[in-house]
Amino acid sequence: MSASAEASTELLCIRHLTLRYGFGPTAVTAANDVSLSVKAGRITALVGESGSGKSAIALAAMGLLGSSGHVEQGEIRLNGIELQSLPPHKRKAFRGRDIAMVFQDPANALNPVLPIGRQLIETIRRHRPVGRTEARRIAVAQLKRAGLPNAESLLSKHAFQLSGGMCQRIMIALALVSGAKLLIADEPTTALDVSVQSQILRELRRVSREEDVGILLITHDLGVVAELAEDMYVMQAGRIVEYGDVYSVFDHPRHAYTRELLNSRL
Amino acid sequence: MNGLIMPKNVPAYLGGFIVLGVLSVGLLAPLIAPSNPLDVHMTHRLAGPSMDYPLGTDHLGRCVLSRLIYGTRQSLFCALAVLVTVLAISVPVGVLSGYVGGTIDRFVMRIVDILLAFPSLILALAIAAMLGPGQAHLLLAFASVWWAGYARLIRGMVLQLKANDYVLAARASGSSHLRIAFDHVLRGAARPILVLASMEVGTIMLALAGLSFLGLGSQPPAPEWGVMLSDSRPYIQTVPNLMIFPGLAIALCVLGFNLLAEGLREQRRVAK
Amino acid sequence: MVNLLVVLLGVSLITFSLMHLAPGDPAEIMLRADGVQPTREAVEALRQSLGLDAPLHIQYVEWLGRVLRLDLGLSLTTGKPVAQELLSRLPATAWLALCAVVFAALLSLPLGIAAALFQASWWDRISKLISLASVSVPAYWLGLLLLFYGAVRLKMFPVAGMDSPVSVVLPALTLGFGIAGVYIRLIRTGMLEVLERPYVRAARARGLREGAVIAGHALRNALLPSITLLGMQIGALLGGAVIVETLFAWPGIGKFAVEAIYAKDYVVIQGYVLLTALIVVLTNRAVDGFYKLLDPRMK
Repeated sequence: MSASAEASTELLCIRHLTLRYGFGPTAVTAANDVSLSVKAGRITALVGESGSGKSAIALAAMGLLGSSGHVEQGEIRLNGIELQSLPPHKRKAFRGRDIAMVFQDPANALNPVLPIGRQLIETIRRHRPVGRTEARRIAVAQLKRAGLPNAESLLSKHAFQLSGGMCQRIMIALALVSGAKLLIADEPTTALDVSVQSQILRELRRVSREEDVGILLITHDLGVVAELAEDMYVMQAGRIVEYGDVYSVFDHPRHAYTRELLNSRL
Repeated sequence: MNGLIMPKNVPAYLGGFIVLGVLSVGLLAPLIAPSNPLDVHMTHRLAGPSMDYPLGTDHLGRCVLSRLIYGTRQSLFCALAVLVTVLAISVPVGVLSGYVGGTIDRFVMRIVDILLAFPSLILALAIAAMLGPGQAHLLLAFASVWWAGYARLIRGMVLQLKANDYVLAARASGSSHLRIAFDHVLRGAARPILVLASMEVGTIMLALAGLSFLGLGSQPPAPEWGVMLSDSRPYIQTVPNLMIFPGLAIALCVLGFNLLAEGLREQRRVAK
Repeated sequence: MVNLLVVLLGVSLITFSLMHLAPGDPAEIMLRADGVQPTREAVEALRQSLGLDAPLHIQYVEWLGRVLRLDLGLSLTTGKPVAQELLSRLPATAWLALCAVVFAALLSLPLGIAAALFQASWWDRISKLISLASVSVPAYWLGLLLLFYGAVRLKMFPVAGMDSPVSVVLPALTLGFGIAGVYIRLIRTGMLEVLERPYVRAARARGLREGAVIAGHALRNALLPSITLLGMQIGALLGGAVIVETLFAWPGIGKFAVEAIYAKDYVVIQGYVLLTALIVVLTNRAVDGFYKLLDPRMK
C-alpha cells in the first residue's frame, strides 16, 4: 500500500489512448496516443481549441462515446481498474458512482419537464439502497453544501425557472450526489455569462478542496485554467503537445502551439 | 444539387414509378382497357377471371379490369383537380397573409381558424350533401374546405423566408414587394409546397373515394374505385375479388404519392 | 377567450349557411327526398317552421337563439329533436373513437420507440412499412377486408352493430389503424431527437439504467408532439368514424349523419356539423390544458 501511495491518489489514468469516429477510409482520429492522469483533490485542465479531441477523451472515460466512436488502442484506468476490458454492464456501474460529468449547456442538461428533486432523488436511489425520504434528505444536504439558497424549495423547481448559473451548480451537485470522487467538467462555464462564471469556478474549487474530488477540467479558456487548475495538458489535433503544472507552463511554454494559445489570449 | 432526384433515393424512385404508371394507365385507358367499362352483360354476371375479363365481372357483368383502368381517370384526375384548385386558393392567400401581415393577416388567419374548427371531411361531406350528388359538387365542396390548412402552412413558410437575410438585402437594395414575393419568397417555398402537394394528393384521393363509397361523389354507373367498392359489398362473401381489386388500386396509388412525398422530403433534408 | 368566441361565432355562421347552399328551396328538396312531389301546403308549412321566409340575417339570429337554447330543430325523418337524437348516439361514437385511439397507441408506441432505438434495423423497417400502409390503405377497404376475414371467414367477430362487447373490435381496428401511422412516425422522430439531447446524455452519465433513461427522461419529452397531434386529429377521427360506422352499422352520430344525407334531412346534417365542430374546439382546449400539465414550460 505504502509503496503505491503515489499511484493510489491517481483517480483516472489514461495511457496511449487512440480514439476514432467512424470506420474505414472516412474514419476521423479524435485522439492520438493520449496519456494523462487526474489525481484526487486536484484540478487538472485539458486545454485546446474546439475540435482538438478534448471532449472525445471525456466521453471515452465515461464510456459514452456513442455508436460511431470507439477506442482503437490504449487503456483507461479508474481507481486502478482497467475499464476497456470490462463488459458493458460492469463498466456502466462506475458511471455516476465513481466518475461523474458536467456538461457545457447546463440549462439543457437538466430534463426540462422533470422537477430538479426528481432527478436528484432518482440518481441517489440508483446508487444507494435508500428510500425516497432518505434520498430527499441527501439531496437537500448536497444542495446546501453547494451553497444553494432555499435548497428545499429548489427540489420542486424546473430548469427553465432557474438561471444558467444555478442550473450548472445544480448539475455539479447532481453529478457528485452519489459520492463520485472524479468529476469531468466539459467547458462548464462556456455557455454562461461572464458574471456567473466565477460562481461556478468557486464551486468547482470548493468540491475539489472540501470534498476531495479530482477534477478533469476541459476548456478552451486559458483564463479559467489560470484561475482554477493546478496541472494542465495542452492538446492539439488529437495529441497532447505539452503538460506540466500550470505555473511552469504559463511561464515557460515549450511548445509553439502553447505559446500561440497564450499569445492569442493576451 | 443538379437533378431533381438523387441516386439511391429508393422511395422517390419507387413512388415516382408508381405515380407515372398510374398516370399513364389513366391517360391510355381507352387503348389498354380490354372492354368498355360501362358495357353490361347480364349473362356474364359475377364471372371469375377469363380471357375476355382478366379480373372477372361485377354484378352487372361489367369488366372489372376495364372499370379499374377507367377508374384511374376518375380518382386521379379528380384528386389533381381538387389539388390544383386548393393550391390556386391557398398559395396566393398564404403568401399575401404572410408577406403583408397586419390586419389582412389577422383577418385571413381568423377565417382559417374557423374553417379548421370543423372536421374537414365532415364539412366537405355536408357541403357536398347540400349541393347534391355529383362530381363537380364534390370537387367544389373539397376545395372550399381543404384550402384553409394549406394557406396556414404556406403563410408559416413565407414568414420564415421573409426573415431571411437575402430578403432583407433585397428590400434594402430597393426591389419591389411584388418582385421579392415572387423571386425570393415563392421560389423558396416552391419545394416544400411540392412535397406537401404530393402528400396531399394521396389524402385527397382517399377522401374522395371515401365519399364516393358513401354514395356522395361519383354516381353509378361511373367507373370509380370508391363506387366499385361500395357495389362490391353485397358480394363480399361470394365474390371477394370485387372488393379486393378496387381497394388495392386505391392503396397502391396513394402509396405511390406518399412514397414520392417521402423521397422528396428526404431529398430536402439531405440537401440542407 | 375572445378568439374562442370569434371562432364559435364563425362556426355558427358557416353551419347556418349550409342550409342555403341547397340548389332551390331547401324545404321542397327535403320533402321531395322520398321521390314524391310534396304538396304546396306541406312545403309552405315546413318553410314556416324553419323560418325560411324571413330575411337571412333575421333567420340567422333566430336560428342562433334556438341553438343557444340547445334547440337544433326537429328531424324530418324521425320527428324527434335533433339535439336529443345526436346526444343519444354520441356515446357510441365516443366509445369507438376511444377504442381506436387506444389501439393506435398500442400499435404506435412500441413500433415508434423500437424504430428509434434500433435505427435501420428490422424494427425500423417494419414500423416504416406499417406507417406507410396506415396512411395509404383506405379505411373503407381495410374495414371490408376485416369484415371478410374476421367476421365472415373466421366468424370471430360480429358483422355489424354493437350488440356484444367484442363488436367494437373490428371498427376500432379499422379506425385506429388509419391514424396509427402518423404517430409511429412522430414518436420515432421525437425519440430520435430527444435521445440526442444533452439531458439524456447527462442522465446516462449519472449512471441511470437505460430503461429509466428511456422511459423517464426521453419518452415523456418525445411524446409531447403526439399529444398536440391527438388534439388536432379529433376531427379526422370523427370524419373517419362516418365511414367506419356506416360500414359496420355502428349506431353512432356518423352513421346517423349519413342516413340523414340520404334522406335529405338538412336539419340533422346542420346539427351534426355544429356538434362535431364544437367537439373539435372543446377537445383542443382540453388537450392544451393537458399539455400544460405535462410540460411545465408552457404554463
